[in-house]
Amino acid sequence: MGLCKKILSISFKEKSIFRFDYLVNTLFSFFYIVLKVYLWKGLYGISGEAVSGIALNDMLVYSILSSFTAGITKTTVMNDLNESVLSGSISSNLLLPIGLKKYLFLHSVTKNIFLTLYGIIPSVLAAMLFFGFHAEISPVNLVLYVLSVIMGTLINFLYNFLFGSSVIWFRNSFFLNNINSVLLNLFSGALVPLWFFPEPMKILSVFLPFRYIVFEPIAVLLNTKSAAETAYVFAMQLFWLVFLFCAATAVWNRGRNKIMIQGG
Amino acid sequence: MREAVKESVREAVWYLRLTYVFTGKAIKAMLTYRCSFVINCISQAMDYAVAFLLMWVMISAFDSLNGWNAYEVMLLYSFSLFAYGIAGTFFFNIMNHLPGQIWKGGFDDVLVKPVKVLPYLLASSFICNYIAHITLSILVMGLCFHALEMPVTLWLLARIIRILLFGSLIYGGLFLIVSGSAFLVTKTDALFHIMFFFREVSYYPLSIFPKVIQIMATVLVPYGFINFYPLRELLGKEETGGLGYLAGWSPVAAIVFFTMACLFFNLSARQYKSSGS
Repeated sequence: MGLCKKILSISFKEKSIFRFDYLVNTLFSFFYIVLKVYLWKGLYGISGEAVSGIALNDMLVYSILSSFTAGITKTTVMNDLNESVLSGSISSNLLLPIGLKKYLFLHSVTKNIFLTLYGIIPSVLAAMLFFGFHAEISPVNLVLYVLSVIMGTLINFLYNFLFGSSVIWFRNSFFLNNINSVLLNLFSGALVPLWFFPEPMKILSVFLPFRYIVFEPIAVLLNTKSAAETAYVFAMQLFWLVFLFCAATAVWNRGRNKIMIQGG
Repeated sequence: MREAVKESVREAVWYLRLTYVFTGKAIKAMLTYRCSFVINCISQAMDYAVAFLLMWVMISAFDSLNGWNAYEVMLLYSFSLFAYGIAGTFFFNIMNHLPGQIWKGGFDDVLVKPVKVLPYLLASSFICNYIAHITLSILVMGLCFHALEMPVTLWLLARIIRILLFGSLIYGGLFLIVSGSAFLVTKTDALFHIMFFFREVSYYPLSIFPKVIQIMATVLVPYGFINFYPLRELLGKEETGGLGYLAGWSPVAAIVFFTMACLFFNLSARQYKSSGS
């Protein structure tokens, strides 16, 4: 535990060096929320009638929450893994008295905590003040949301770690990073919620882990689901978590012995 | 007088030849890492393709966005993307490399050459990477015009080319302003953000945004002239939003803005103080 704390505090310090960059990012992440809000307002038009059972207000709440949820579940581990193998810096990470997967996870989590504190929370709060935020959120749903987001973060991390490990065999996996961001943008609901998807895309999304990263946690928070549906979401999240954990561990255990360190 | 004209023509031809030589080298360099180049292009095209797809999904669910249907909004997006691609082909590398050259003092190399700064940078900065943006935009444009049942006649084609040409000039000007400011301030990140934020704004009809953004995107950074005003006329849309009927002003706005950007770049370049060694 002490070790984890040390790693958390070191990577937190590492991030605070670039405070100013984060401030600029905060300002612009607020602007992007503004853009999204006006886009949805434009789509709903003056009448503001509910579309696919979703009213304008729910949609505005969703777009503010999705900025927050997408930010907190984000990970760059695929890129980090790729770069550390290409530059050879993975050799020093492997010497750490902690598993690489755990180390990268902690690194990713601190990055997100920092990003959330500096970038996301201020811009989301500003957006809430600016546009109003009328949502009835019960404490139970809030707890479920937090749990669901934690699982979502783990799913996203493990998925990225699993495919990022391919760098060991391919020598370069930057293209996988791109493919992944494409799938995440499309199916996670970070940009367009799955409510509005045409049927074939909705069906496809059921077989992929991405909707459980951003869309489902928010849907749970906004109380759009019955108890049984919520339970199903958690069961699916748990399934993906276990499945990806086993896959990532298996692949990593095989790959660990194969790593060729170049540079240094 | 005639001598002066002759001289500038000769100079222009010389820079064109220089561009030809540098472009040849850039293409050769790209061919050396063919596989990496192709993968890069595909992944970039996929990124934008998903953006187009999501736009289509979103607007189709609602029928229209402030009177623009999905295909019309996709046209806005593709025109902006195409103009960005053309401008990026010539200007992106200037913006990308100049700050580094200024910090490290590498810009000295350019100054000791017997060339004018801006024409030389333009001649030497060609990159092929934007082929993905350009190809994808053309495909989407074709798809949209087909879906909107607008036959692509020669006349329409000429109008499209005119819009894209002036749009590229505006993007070129924006690239130059961001690059030029690198001479004045150490970090150009904020300007970079502004440029990309308004690029995102330009993907949608300007009329959905609050008046202040509409004015900024017309006067301050003339994104409205890249696609919104000219396309509104081309598609025969109602004249709502923006600052009124401005389609006819696009060429003027583009030429004035680009000239001002060049002047700004040249004036800023004079502030360059060599650092490093």
